Amino acid sequence: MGHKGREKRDVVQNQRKLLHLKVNGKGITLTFGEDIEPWDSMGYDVYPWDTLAFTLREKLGLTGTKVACDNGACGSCTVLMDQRPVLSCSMLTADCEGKEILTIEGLADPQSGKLDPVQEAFVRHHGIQCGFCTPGMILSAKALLMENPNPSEEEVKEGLAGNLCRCGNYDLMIVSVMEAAKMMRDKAEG
Amino acid sequence: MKGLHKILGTNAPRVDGLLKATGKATFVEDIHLPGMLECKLLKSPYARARIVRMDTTRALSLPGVRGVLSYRDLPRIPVSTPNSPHHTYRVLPEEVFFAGEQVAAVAAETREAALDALELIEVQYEILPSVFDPLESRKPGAPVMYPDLPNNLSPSNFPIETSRGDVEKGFKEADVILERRYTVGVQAHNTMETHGTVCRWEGDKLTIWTSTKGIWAVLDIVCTIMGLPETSVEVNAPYVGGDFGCKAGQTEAMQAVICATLSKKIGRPVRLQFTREEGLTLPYHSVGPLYYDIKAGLMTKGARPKAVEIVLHANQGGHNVAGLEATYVGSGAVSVYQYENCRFQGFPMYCNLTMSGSRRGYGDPEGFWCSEQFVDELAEAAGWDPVEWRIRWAVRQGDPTATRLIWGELAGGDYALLLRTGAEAFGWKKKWHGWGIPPGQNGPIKRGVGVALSQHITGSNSELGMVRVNVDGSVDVFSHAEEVGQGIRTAMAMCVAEVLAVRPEVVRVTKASTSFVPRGYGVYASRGTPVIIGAAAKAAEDAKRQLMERAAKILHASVEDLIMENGRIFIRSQPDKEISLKRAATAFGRVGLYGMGYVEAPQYNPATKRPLWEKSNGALFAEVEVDTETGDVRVKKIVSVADAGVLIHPELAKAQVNCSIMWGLGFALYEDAVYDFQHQGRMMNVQMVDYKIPTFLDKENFVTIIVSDPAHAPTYPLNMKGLGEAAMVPVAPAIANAIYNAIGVRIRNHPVTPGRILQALGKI
Repeated sequence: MGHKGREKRDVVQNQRKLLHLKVNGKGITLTFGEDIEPWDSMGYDVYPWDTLAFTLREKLGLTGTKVACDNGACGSCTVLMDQRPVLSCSMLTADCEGKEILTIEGLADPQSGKLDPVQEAFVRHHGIQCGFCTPGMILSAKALLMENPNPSEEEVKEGLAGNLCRCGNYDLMIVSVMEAAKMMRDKAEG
Repeated sequence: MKGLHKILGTNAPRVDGLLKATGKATFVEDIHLPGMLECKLLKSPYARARIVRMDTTRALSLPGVRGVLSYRDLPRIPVSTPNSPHHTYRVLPEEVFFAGEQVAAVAAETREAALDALELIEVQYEILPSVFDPLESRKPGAPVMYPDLPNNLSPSNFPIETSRGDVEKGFKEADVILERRYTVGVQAHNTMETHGTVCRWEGDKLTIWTSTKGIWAVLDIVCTIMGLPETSVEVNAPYVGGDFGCKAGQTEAMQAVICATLSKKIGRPVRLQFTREEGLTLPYHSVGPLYYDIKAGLMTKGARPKAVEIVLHANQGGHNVAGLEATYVGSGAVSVYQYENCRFQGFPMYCNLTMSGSRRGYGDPEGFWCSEQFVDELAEAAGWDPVEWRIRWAVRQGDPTATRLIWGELAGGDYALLLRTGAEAFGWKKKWHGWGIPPGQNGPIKRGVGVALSQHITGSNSELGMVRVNVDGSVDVFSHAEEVGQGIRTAMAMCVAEVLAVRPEVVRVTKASTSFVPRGYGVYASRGTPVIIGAAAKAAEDAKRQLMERAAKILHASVEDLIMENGRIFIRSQPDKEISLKRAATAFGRVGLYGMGYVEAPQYNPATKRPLWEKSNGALFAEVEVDTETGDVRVKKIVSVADAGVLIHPELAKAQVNCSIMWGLGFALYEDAVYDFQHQGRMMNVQMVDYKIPTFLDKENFVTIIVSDPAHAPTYPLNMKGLGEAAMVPVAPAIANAIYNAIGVRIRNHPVTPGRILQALGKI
């Protein structure tokens, strides 16, 4: 590395900025900057142009989040940020300081591994085909049910209209979400 | 297998359900190898051009860039399959045939660096004359695409014309003769997961992971182009995020050759994942744009169909992918009704657009959109109820029918039953008020109803199945059975479990890898269920026979007296005399037991020696509301009736039909590739915001009825057949017929957009 390398390292140490996120319940600290190339051994975790979807998938290994249109038009990359659904392909990681992110990997109970009712309903009622839209769909449905625990079929359709499924399995997804709502209400009532 | 089914007909959980619901199912883009580089493609801005000069030095010197490829770096062997009769495309060509065709590739440390490098590749093109319209392409003096084919007619290894009887005589005998031209646009597959490939070398062995429904097609093409023996290449298909026809091997092999060549050069794994724009422009589309000229004649008496004649001009694209496109578009219309005389002539024309190819229903949604509207025009001219006319004149079992324009007999199916069942569920008698009378109106909103039939091939080629009864009594099925969402792995496990009388949970379908599954063909032509699963079921029957023979020896009984159930084999009259499957499987040591099975499609009628064509048949009823002020169409109700043989998994089967309804709805009303014909024929709606597909909000009162009867699939193992593609076929024509019923003007140009409706009504 030599003298020049040491100098570079000093610059990195001095300019190092940190991003703090909570992902699936765990606190995560990421380095952030742009003066060193991403493929450099001293490269940063996050660059200003990195989307949240990229960071989740390529840096944190959370590949359950799927990118389909990469343009904010299909809902596949939906994750929950502070309990609200966001399109991770259209959000910069740099803007996520202090945010709490939930991806599909964090939806089941971390201790018992028990599926969330929405996941359980999608599995049981075949709301899944190729599976590429599934993580985003399940998280959008989760957000919908947190806001409206007792939706009508029309409200489910409107609530999920931003999530596309090219297989066209909308029918069984509506069934799955209605069943999940019922399971969650039953649980809440004890 | 006859008699009572224990597992078939139940709604077992999907074998991939849990993985997909928890984000753990692996797709190609989820594969992350140490040191992996990202590949990006440079595309031609011109419809037809020759590369005069390409300079990649500046791109190569950009930080982070590790390799650049152009046509000079690759063998001049085209991507082609055994079906390809002529010039399929080059992986990286010297001459491009449509705007957006790939011309160079960059591998870099990051996608950003690769994209930056693309801008530094200097290309000088010689722009050549281009043609975008199949009718123009056929005219004398049109730009010639390939010197060896001066008429621009794209050749085929299958018939592109056929005739039966004497059409001229038929027309002379007919009283009512109609002649119409229909046009059809282009539907793009637009899979949620675009095509993606990862390649890695270990010494001289190449491993490929790719998003494909045809691992063997990818293997063959890669080996041919790269000059590698099959034993040096392994192709794997992880979970595939939607296929619908576009992942049959050609595009994936193109990606694989690029990644593998770069990877070899650089010494690191390489990944190429298409962008949405590439996903919408590089892989072939549905068959179109096309012109469909149809003429047919009926007798007044009985409205008997005497003769039909169809001339098709279809865009083949700049390259010929499979050469089957015109063949499939032509097969349907001449196959569904009892025309005494028929003639079809197809002109698949080379044009400078994206290729035509297979999309859910391969040519039939396109052909039936025209022919099923046209038979409504005939029925109207003859004064018949369109349902009654179809019931009377649809083909019946044993009637002549063509698949890929090869004539044979309809093996099974009952259109009259499908129509009557659907009409009853839809309430046709109440809703149909006669020609020219819409069933209802509310201000500017007019209601209308329509019907259409469908037919599509189910099953083709041969398959070898292989199962292993493991030493612990569990069962492995070695199969490529690419899981593209259809649920084939679930259905396959169920069928094998049924034959071996074990629980489906103890059956595993192995991963799709060319290194260890029997060779086969892909999951196309609705062959997954009858042929691929069929072969696995026959392999299970072979294993069962061997197990029974072993048990008979051990138990000192004859095979006929033995029963296999719940993982054990026992003597019928002495149920306590039993051995476990495990013991029978390990009778010769801990090696397990292998079963093999073979299925070939089609079967032949031994008496007539003609093919017994198994078809997926269907009938569909639609009710629409048309806003005559805005041209907006709402599809309010659909009843889709599909025929099946033995049902494996009713919920998944129904889901296939439901999904086809959404596909058909998109095809009918929204989906069309919009080209910049004034300039370079570039497809312009290349993002999901521009290329509209159906959403949750399109889902209304859609009902699926499956008429299941083993007699509907007489020639296949377990009397099973496919239904996922055919259900797509009747949706768009039934909607078009309903729109005509509502507004009284026939729209013969697809898709039926609000603009076309307002134009037809004379409002714009």
